[in-house]
Amino acid sequence: MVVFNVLSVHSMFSQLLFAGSSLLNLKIRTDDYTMTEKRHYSKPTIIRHTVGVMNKYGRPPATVPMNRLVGHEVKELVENYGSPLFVLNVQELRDNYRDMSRAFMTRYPKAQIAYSYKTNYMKAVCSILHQEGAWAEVVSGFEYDIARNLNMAGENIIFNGPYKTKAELMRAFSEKALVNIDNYDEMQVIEDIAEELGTVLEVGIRINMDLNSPPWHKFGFNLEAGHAFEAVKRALASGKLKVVGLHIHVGTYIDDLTIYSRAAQGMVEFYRYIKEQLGVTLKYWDMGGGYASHNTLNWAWLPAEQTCPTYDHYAETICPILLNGPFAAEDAPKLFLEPGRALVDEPFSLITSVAAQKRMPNGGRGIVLDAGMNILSSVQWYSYNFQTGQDSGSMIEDTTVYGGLCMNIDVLRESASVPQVRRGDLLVIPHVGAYNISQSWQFIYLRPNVIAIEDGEVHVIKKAETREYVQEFEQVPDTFTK
Amino acid sequence: MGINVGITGLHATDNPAPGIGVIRSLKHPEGWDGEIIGLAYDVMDTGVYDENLLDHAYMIPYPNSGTQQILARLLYIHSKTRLDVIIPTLDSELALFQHLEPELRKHGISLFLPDSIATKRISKPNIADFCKELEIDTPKTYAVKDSGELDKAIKEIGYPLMVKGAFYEAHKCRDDKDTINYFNEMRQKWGYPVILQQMIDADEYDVCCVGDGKGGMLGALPIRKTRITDKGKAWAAITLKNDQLFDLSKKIIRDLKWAGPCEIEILQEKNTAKMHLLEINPRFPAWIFLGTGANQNLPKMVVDLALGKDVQPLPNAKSGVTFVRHATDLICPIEWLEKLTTGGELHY
Amino acid sequence: MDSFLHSEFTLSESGFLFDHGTGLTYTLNETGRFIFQKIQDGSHANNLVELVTSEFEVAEDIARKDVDDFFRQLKEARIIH
Repeated sequence: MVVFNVLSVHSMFSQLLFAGSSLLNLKIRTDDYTMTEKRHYSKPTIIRHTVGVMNKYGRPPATVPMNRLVGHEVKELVENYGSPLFVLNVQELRDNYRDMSRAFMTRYPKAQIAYSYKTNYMKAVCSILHQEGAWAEVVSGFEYDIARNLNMAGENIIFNGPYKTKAELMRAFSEKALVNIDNYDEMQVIEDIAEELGTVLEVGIRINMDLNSPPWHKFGFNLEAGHAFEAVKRALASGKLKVVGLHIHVGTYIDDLTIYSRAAQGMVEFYRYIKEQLGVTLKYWDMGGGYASHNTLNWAWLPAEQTCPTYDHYAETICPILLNGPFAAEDAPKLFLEPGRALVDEPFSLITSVAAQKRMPNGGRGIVLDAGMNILSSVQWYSYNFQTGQDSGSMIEDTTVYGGLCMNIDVLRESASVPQVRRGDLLVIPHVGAYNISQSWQFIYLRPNVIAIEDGEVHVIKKAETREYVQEFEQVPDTFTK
Repeated sequence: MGINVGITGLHATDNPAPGIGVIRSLKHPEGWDGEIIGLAYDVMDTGVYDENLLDHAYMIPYPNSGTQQILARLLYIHSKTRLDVIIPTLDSELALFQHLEPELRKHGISLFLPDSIATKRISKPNIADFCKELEIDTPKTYAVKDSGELDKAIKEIGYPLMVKGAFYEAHKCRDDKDTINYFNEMRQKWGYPVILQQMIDADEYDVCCVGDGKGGMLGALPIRKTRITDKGKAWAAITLKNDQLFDLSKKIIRDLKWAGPCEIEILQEKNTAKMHLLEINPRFPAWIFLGTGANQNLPKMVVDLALGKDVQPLPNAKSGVTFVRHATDLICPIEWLEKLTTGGELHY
Repeated sequence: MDSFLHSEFTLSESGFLFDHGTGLTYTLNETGRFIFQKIQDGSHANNLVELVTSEFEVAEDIARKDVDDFFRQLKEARIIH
């Protein structure tokens, strides 16, 4: 088998080098009765040279098999836990948190990360991040309840979002959570709560600025139009609220650092202004999330690994500007960051199996996978890479990758570089941790297992669905079946 | 021992990449004793078949393939044919080389590149803000990131306007039909944002500059294009002596602390003689060989800067020097094509 | 000469294929090159699976499917009749 291994690393251009190797084999193996050992096989393939595809060095490393994940054979994981299968590398998640926290705290000592629950609120994921020291950033009563259920103290929860019910707000304030106000209607509800509780409530005000196009005007009060100032003034005027926080969230997947620097500059100027005009002293300011991950957006030409800023880049952009705020160093407000995607995207991979391959009428190749948009909704935004879970040779071809749903729209990627694969072969899709699981839909297929691996140990952190589970809350009145 | 220089951007068609001009500058005048290593993205990159210009040609991965794969390929090339300096010449690969620079330097491969913040500031979507900061005039510009904003952008700018891709290409548009067509084409080809820009009636000038990375401008070659192709590329040009262009370039380089080459495109409005900054390309222009005739051999200067040599500013460019480009055909045996296709390298 | 091929082809050791009739060029992998060479040598289509399984480490049913698929590709590319 030694000879086999040597031959299996043949790439096309090393063939000449190995042209004499069959002779060599015989020499090595004269003492061996298996002199007729055969050559390594890969699927016979012919690829026509056209402009732009004649550079085999110009392809993603799809041909480098990713046959192990977090120290485990991909094939074995599928045998034990099925396909498709989400796999979390726990150490990578911990490392991401530690690295981001370090990047900010070394530049702004009072920095604190609050994990954006909505990107992936599986209990195991939130627990790991809380173990590392993250607070919770929630945007609904449901998410708030998840955090409390994980024993997060109310005072370590930031409650954001455009729609919070009175009951949810009442609970949050009673438990001393930080609440950032999104609109005037909400402000009125909170004033009512203050009255009912018979106390002055400390609140944060969410503001927005004209930073990107299209601007994010849905949330909070606009700065340029003067709404933000009016909101702070209005909150103070009632005498029931005390403004102690400012919140901004510049967008989603923002890799343009200038947006963060302008936002930070805006926060500093606004703080200075409300301090002078209204005597506001902030206990915290919250720069929100939006930090990018190493996934390439569908409309981007360069891959994310070249354009995605590091945690240090973000911290270096934001912190020095904020430190110029109107306060002595020791009185600096606490700084919150609300990353989600940037922490959780990369540590997750999805293992999926090839269900079929087909030749399209235009001569191109298509493959069908056992995973579809129902568990990979981020294909709307991302151009995911597909890596083989086994040695599939070095001949790659532009391939349309279809999901397994019986729906024409279920296309995972219009054109991906994929080696020659057959039914049953495995593909690994890296960096799938953000939004895919929390936005997954049970549709046509049951949702698969999610496992987490740490220190060699595999934990199932979410069991695959069953028909019984999906139908648990359904009811069929007797009259329908008589 | 001569210095070996790796150069990208070898595809010299009617929309030529700058690599060939850079190579010819390095080999000019006689006395060059290093080797030129052509780094090609496609086996049909025309320059790789010029055995008089190249000593070696290697295929490298496109900048939008994985970074690690590109690094591995460059280090492989370095192990076979020493690379002392790399001069990237394409906009789309700058981010990649900025990213790889520390790693390449560790292996003894030097580059001289602007930092990523400076590059971001002059990127097409941000150039309008940059002009505002420096109080430089610029045509009205809109970076459209969503087809829904197109109408608004057209209304604000008015016709005629230019539709530009995020990295390359610009098309003149006189009505909505043109604009929508080119908008879709640019979006598909180069992704978002697509840039819409006001067209003003003006004379167009280019200045190729080299910055020292500390705010100083070490060389400047101002030109006027005297013949352009239908793609707006220079087919003939003449060097200028023009203080306004020189001072504006100097101001830009100083503020950006620009390191390495760039091409600054400037418009002078016909009615008002006002200078407008159109765009800044973070690389050499394809016509850079013209500099060798005007005492501004800027590619040679960039090699020296990459190697950490003490480089003094050049005296002003000689004005009135002209170039005319003319196309030529190379005969090449099919074995060259085969070698590049199947082996990824070719040695002359 | 064989009756399969549309025109004259040069196949190099490296798997680079030149079609003299159309001027198109292709790359074949090792297995593809082996089969193509057999076609050029005049082997009958029916014998190719056997030739492949005796040369390469592969089960017959897989080889049969793959050779079939390979032939389809050659036909679609108008390399063989």
